[in-house]
Amino acid sequence: MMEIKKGINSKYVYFLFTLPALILYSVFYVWPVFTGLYYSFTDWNGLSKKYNIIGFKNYINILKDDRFRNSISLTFFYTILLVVFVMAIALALALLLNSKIKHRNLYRAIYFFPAILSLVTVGLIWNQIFYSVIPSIGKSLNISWLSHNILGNAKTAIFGVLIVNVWQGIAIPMVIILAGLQSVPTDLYEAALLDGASAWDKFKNITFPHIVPVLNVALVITMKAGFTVFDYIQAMTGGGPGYATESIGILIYKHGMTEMKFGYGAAESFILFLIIALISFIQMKYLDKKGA
Amino acid sequence: MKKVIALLLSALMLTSVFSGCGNKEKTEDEAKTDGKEKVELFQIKREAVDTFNKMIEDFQEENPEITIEQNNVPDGDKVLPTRMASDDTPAIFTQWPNTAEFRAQVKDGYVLDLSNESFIKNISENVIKDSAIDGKTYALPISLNTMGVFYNVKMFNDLGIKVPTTYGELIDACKKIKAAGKTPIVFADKDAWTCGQTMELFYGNFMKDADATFKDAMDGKKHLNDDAELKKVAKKILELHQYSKEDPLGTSYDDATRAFANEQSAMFIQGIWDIPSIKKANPNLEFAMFPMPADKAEDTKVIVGVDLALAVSSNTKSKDSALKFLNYMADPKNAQKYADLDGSISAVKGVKCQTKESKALVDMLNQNKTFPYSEGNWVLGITPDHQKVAQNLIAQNSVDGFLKDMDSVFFGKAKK
Repeated sequence: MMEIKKGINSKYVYFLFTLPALILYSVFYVWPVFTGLYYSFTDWNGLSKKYNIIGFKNYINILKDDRFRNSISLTFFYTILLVVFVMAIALALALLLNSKIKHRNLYRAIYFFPAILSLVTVGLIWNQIFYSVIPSIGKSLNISWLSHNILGNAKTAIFGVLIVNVWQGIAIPMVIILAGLQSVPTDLYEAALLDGASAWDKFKNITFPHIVPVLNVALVITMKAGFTVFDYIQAMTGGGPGYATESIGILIYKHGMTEMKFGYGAAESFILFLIIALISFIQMKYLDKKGA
Repeated sequence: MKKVIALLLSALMLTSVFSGCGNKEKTEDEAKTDGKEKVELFQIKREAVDTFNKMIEDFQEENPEITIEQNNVPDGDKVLPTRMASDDTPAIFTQWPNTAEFRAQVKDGYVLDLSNESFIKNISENVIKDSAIDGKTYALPISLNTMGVFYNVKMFNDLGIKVPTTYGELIDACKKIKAAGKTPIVFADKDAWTCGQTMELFYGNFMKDADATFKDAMDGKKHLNDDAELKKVAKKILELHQYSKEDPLGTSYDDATRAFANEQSAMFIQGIWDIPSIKKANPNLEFAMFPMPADKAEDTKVIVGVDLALAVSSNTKSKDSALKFLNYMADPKNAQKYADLDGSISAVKGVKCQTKESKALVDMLNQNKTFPYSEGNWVLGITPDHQKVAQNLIAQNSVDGFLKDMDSVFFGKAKK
């Protein structure tokens, strides 16, 4: 140990340790970013050996494209709802599971369970629940809006996807918040008890300030999940009915892979990248202030 | 000592990163050393996997020096182009030859020209002519498909309904079934491709010259915004949806197949490829098909397209073995076996279709009362857009919206 610390070559050893991750990251993340940027200036269809460089034409066309604008607003709408529901439910569950209730560990396991299921399996199972289980419940109770497959209606399909995403998506933020709750010093609660503080006072003045950092982490994770939502939609509606659930992720895939407009899809993903970069930037600036 | 371990570990991690790439060459070398040649068959039709496995078994018995490895992945028709673009074209692959995608693949030189192979003579001339690209044959057609209306024979008999021969009779039948408290038709609109294909079935039966209409639109000569014939088609689609099982857009292809098989609906507009699945879902169901009727009985035709075709990569090392397999599949004796297993209509001359459910359609086919899928002439990228437009018609229930969507998908696309 001492030998390495004193040795001249120790720097290189540490560098070598970072090398695998660095290479992996460069090959699978950094390099594709540049090739993607390059293809976004071409009219490549994803197959041909030949293609033309067409400058900013893709970008100009995208800004004029109704379908792209619709999918941007859908994605924002979806992300906002997802963040609100996931954060509220995850926080509530974490508080419950942190209190002294019977079979606490069992409940923790049950609420975490959805997170370990494969996404596609979840999609297929919920497809059947929406197709046959919920409508038959709705019919027997004579509730008309429950008697139909909500994935089959252009107005409600996105909420069907949202329900499943929230159901599975709360698990990880819940665990993160739970971990944060356990790091709150208990003596503060004891002091508050002596001062006669109510449960809300305790939450507002002790719990919440202590878990703000973990809430931020959970928020970032959930927002990212919302902006890049793809798999739930692909497994449940395929972007339909019509264009009703086409998020940006789905649209990029459709353009790139099925509609043979690879260059166009690459340009779209670059615009998405810029949007996410901007939001992350604002978020980091704001959170930095809060954290300090 | 620790330094050495650290170095070793780093090296180990590095090699594991690249081992994925190296593996493949190794298996190819191995393949040659034990005297057997491995040939990949990239098969994109999931319904045909079992059938191909049986055909391959027999082929390998006759040709023990060749091993055909069938590879079926989800969304194979999307995986295939990416493999071509990364110079990894499978030796043999199945394809839908009448698509813009396949034409693009041929144009880019990924596909071997089969025009001069002797086994092409086994295939019916019409099929070869219809699937030719610039007068040459790049894919060996194995089977044909057609679409029509599945109906529940017992339900029709119980209600005293005759098989409809005109569109008017079809609507009358729907009314009768509905009056009897049963569901007339199930639609599988959750899967956009079924919407697109049903549309194409209607184009051929209700438009005088659908191909000319689409060609003019793609060439930028005529807008589709107020095309009277397209309007008629859209109205008919919506009219039939009044007799649909509830939630058509919430019903997937698999859901609809099961619903029809379990007698939850009297009819189902679908292709003959669904026959095996219906039988599997309910072996006791008594069902058959009739052609989608036009306004007048004498105008009724059936849609026909090549269902599955085999193509060979233009730069494969196993060209001879690949052609041997194609030759085997085109042999009338083997083609009969394939047709029997698959339930499809063979493209090979002299092979009979022994599936009784599709008899009415096959009869029309034999009388040459057919029309091709319109998408065969569409420009690359239109087909998936068209499926979305067809699905959107049902979602929005608006004929004018549909025509506007159609125009934006087709107009001027061939110019570029």
